[in-house]
Amino acid sequence: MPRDSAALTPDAQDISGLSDDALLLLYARGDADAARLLTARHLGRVYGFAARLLGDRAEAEDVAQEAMLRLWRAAATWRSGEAQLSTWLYRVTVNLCTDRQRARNRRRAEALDEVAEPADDRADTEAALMARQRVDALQAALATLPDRQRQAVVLRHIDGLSNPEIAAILEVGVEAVESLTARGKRALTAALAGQKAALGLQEGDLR
Amino acid sequence: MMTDDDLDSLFATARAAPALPSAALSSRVLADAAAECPRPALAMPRPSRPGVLARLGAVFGGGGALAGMVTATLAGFWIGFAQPVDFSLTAALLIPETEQIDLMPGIDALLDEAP
Repeated sequence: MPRDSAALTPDAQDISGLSDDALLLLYARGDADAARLLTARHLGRVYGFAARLLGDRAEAEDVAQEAMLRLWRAAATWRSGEAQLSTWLYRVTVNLCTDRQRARNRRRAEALDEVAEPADDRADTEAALMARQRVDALQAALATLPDRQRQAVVLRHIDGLSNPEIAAILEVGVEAVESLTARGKRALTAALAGQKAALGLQEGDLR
Repeated sequence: MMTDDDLDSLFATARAAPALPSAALSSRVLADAAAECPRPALAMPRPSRPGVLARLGAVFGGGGALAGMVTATLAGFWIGFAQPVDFSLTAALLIPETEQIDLMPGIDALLDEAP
């Protein structure tokens, strides 16, 4: 029996070069190392994306856990090559966030007040303080966008995905993605108007 | 006036400071993975108990040896039962003369005597 389980569970070094699909297949066969690797590869992105969309860490954690849970549950029936695993996870995350935002809107929660994250214990150098102010201002501005525009802008400009990838995630055409990001950026510019100096964005100093 | 470049600068700042998942979240996710695994490693099916033939084969040194023994037994039984002509001829050729050796010289007298 020990021989059998060893044959099914090559050590982590052997499987670290495998594709996401192959790792998911190994996980479905009971390989815990494959689950660890998949988590290491994708949890950060899923969580970061959810945090940008929701502006709330606790909610983003719940969404990220739920998205990964759906991945584990899909493992047994996963079809290789049908959808890229990262695209699939983004899509699940977008939908979970949309559901949360709708529920939140129904509750008429003061979304704007929830946006600012509590400061954590990072070294408060002047540069770090400025960086955090910028991130917070951007997050506050993102929160004013309609859901679809926010999703498209974050995927394009923060996660750095291509328009076809975003189209696959949002299940719309590429032209719709271009339109969403363009309108989203215009709305962001308007929301941030007047904060340029406060955010240290002087002419010729775009760092 | 906020420009596209300003916005790009803000995006760059946000990219440089990604929200990182906590260790607690990673643990929760891995606990889910263990709970949801379609075929958990710990619950792997045990190999079934070997059957009678397999165990008998193991006694005689493997299934091949057992098969050989069965074949030899059947062949011996068939030769003894059917007495094929070829076999008698072969025996006659190989053993042209037969000699009788009396191991118990006095036994004939005992056998002949009627009760």
